[in-house]
Amino acid sequence: MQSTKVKHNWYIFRRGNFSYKLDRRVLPVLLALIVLGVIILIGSVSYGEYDISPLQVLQTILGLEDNSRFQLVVWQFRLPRIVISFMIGAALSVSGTILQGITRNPLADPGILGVTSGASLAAVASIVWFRLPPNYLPFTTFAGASIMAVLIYLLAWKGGSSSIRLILVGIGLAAFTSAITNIMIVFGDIRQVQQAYVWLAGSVYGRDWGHVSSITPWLLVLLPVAILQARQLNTLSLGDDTAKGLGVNVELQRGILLLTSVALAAVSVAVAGTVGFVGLVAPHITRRLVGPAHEGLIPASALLGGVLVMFADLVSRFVIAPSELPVGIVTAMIGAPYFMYLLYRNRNK
Amino acid sequence: MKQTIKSVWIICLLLFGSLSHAQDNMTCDTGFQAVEDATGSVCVPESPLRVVALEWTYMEDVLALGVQPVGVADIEGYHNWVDISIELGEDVVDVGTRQAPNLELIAELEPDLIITSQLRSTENYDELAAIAPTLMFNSYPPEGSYFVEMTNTFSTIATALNREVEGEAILEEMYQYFEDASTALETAGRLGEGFILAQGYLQSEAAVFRLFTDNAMAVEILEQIGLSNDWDDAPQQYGFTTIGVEGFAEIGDTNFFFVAQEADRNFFYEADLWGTLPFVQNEHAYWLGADIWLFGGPLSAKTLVDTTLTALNVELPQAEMTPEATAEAGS
Amino acid sequence: MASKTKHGDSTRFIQSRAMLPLGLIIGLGLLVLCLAWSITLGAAEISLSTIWDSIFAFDDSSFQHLVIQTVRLPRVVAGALVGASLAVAGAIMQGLTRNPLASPSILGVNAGAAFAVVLTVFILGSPPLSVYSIAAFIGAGVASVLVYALGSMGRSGATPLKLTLVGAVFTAFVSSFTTALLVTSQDTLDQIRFWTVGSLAGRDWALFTQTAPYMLVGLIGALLLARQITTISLGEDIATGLGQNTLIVKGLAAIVVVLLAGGGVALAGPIGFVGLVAPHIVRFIVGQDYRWILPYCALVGGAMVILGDMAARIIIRPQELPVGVMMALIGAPFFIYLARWKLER
Repeated sequence: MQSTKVKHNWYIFRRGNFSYKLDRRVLPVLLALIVLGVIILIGSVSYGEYDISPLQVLQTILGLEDNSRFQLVVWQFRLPRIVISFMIGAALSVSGTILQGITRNPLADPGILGVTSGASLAAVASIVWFRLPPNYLPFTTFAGASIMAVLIYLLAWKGGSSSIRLILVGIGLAAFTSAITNIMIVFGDIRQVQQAYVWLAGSVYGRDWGHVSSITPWLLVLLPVAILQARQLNTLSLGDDTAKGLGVNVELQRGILLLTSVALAAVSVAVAGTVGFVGLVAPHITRRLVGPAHEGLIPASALLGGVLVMFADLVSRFVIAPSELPVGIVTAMIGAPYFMYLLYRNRNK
Repeated sequence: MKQTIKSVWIICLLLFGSLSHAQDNMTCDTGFQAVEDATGSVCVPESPLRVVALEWTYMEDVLALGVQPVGVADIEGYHNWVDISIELGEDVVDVGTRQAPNLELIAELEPDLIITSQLRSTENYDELAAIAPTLMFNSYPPEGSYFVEMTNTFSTIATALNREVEGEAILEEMYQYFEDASTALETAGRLGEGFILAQGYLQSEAAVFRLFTDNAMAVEILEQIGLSNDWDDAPQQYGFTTIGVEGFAEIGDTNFFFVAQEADRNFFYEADLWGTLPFVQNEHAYWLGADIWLFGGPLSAKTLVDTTLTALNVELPQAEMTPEATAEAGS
Repeated sequence: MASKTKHGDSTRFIQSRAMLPLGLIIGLGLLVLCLAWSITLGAAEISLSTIWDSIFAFDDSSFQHLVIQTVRLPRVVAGALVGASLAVAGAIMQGLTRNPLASPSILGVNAGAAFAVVLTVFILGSPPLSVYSIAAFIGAGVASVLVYALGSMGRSGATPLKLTLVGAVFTAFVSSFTTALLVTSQDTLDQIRFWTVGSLAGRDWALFTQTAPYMLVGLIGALLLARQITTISLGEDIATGLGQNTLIVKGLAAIVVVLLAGGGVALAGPIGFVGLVAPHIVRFIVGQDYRWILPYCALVGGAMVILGDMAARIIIRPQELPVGVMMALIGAPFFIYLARWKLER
């Protein structure tokens, strides 16, 4: 990616054994992302079929507005889906960042590697076949995504895991699982199938605070774990030999990181289905902004991914209003061209 | 590790917290009454004025009871498939698809009652209920007759709209109409004749037919007027078996009533196979039109009976018992 | 396992050159057997003698004869032709790009054609049947040009990984538009399924006669180009050294691929993996000469789709699976096998 000749300045936080090194570019970028996020948040929370001025929205959020309709629309309809959008964007983006780090492949992404299709197969199975209540979804999608990840890893293993094989095997497994998902849908009861289709298209329609709280604990654990593993991720992304030379237990670290990444993808599938390309696009843009060191990359890409999906959600409500598109379609429409552009830029790599 | 245990704990709490919310035997505030629906009991205003109906059947029920809804889902589809004698008002707002209606648009209509179906509202029931008291019905109960469910739901909606008297009158008329139809069939000597009711359509350029089984509401209606279903497949969950052209091998001569869009009907007529079917050769195939809704309420039921009799060339004894006349009585 | 062997003429299954035409005749016989077997399957019980009569003593007032003539025959014939076309298209793509993973579905050509058809139906309502194939050709053409152009950028050229990735991403991109159109036009789930996986259910002569000529032209064109494709598959330098104008050959071959894949999608939707799997099976049998690979591919591809369609009809009777799903169940593991064991690097 970026030439390593760029002069780096670092902030270094140290406390006892613990140290955290941040690129100087990170803080301004984080700040800019927060500002951008707030702008999109205001736009998104102010936009909708229900006629409320941005000022009234602000007053409603601050509790200065007693109109119960405003409270309903802002607090129950708009905010939960915006928050969910942000959360799954952050989760997918960090998931992609980790995958790109450990496979040392800039094109890795939970969607392209097939991890999310394993998760959505599990989601459809748990809805259509086992008829589990939605609260179980984070668990079933996690199981599905993990099995998928292990399968990809095993099948791509050939005296080491080449990243090309990882991706190709992932594409193949994704095709296979989606065939099984299709069969399940042919068998299923219409009522469950219609619910299951939500998972396939990737949608945040009708999400409420229950959905938010069902994934909050997961993110509260997984995101800090990802940030704390940043240094190990840096080492791993130098290559296995170098990492071993530096005294890192490569397979263990890779295992922990892979698990974190898979869990993050699974959590997002559990509440919103397969929202593609975020895990690919967001880490890339972030890397160009803050450089390749994961200490800064992970938090910044979380923010950027969140903002990106928030934006996609706004677009999905806007394009064919009063109907709406599934948000996964919008991210694909944004993400796929970006991916092509990425290939173009890396054409000589 | 501690963190993991803690988070698992939190997840468990959340899990059980939200699994146990059942609410029954409620007493309602003044001005409200308790009404039974598929979720249990719901408090609705005693005389709601602004109703949003998110499924065509309930749109029809509301219209039959003389109430113009303020908002409904998928008006274009409604006009394509449903034909009752009462027009939907010009200023009724289309709130989007039946599956994912725009919640904010519904909220903006300030409804005091929302009626939806359990089939569609898997993702948005809580949100709808937060906008206004929401009645949710299941047209396909796991036990019992779909026809009985239809009349019960109609009565419930009548109660909720504070139009019980009108509701009963409409149901009475419907039963009377069935009886008249039965008498007319007897006079014509056609009582007890067999029939198959079908809905035909093109699925990516291929002809597909839904043949209705004994548990289908529309079949129950036709049996009530004294016809007998010749499609003897086991009862299906939604009341029909889907067959391709080959499925007709098992079907002999019978009165074949079918509903289809006109273009699709022409497609069937042009197929060579159509001419070889026993019921076509004996001129017992009857196109009932495009917009006979076989999953509707009392008015659709009467339209179905009326069209069926017309198809069989059987006249009703009393001329005033046409759907138009009942519509006026209902409004 | 035989698959451990490196490919090359020395290890092909049919060793003697003289046996190749014979194998082709046997293969044709087997394909006809598959066709016949498939015709006997269906919801209506029709005896073998009636089937025989319906073909050789056709009575247009008999329901059973008409079922055979207007429902089952077009279905299997369409299946055979679509399978043959996609397989040959796949073989050509693999030869030209020297990429074992190339095929119409992997490289997004099918998805492009399917999207173009859906878009046309969306804009025009219910267009005349002839429009379907034209739309599919345009879609297939644009998709193949785009994917190939994007996948072959840079010094390393069109590596299997890049082409496959671009194809996969292009497919995701285009099918998100397909889904968006179907969401806005309120179509049924069944129709969504058709245009995302491909199916032979209810294909009739009307659509068949609209699309078959293109595919037949494509197949003949493929056979005429077979020698040149063989040369290119050995390496572009060799081809140029032998005095071949590779640009013209590639252009003609690309037109053939578009005719084959576009026609196939217009008739049966985007059936995947046939174009990937069939050429590999065939290469194992006949070696590296495209003059033999292509006709064998047509037979193997046709048989694959017919057998897959039979399985799709039998597994969950009386319901039917789309044949595209069956193909993915068989083809995806094969793809993984290729990626893991056959891809050099």
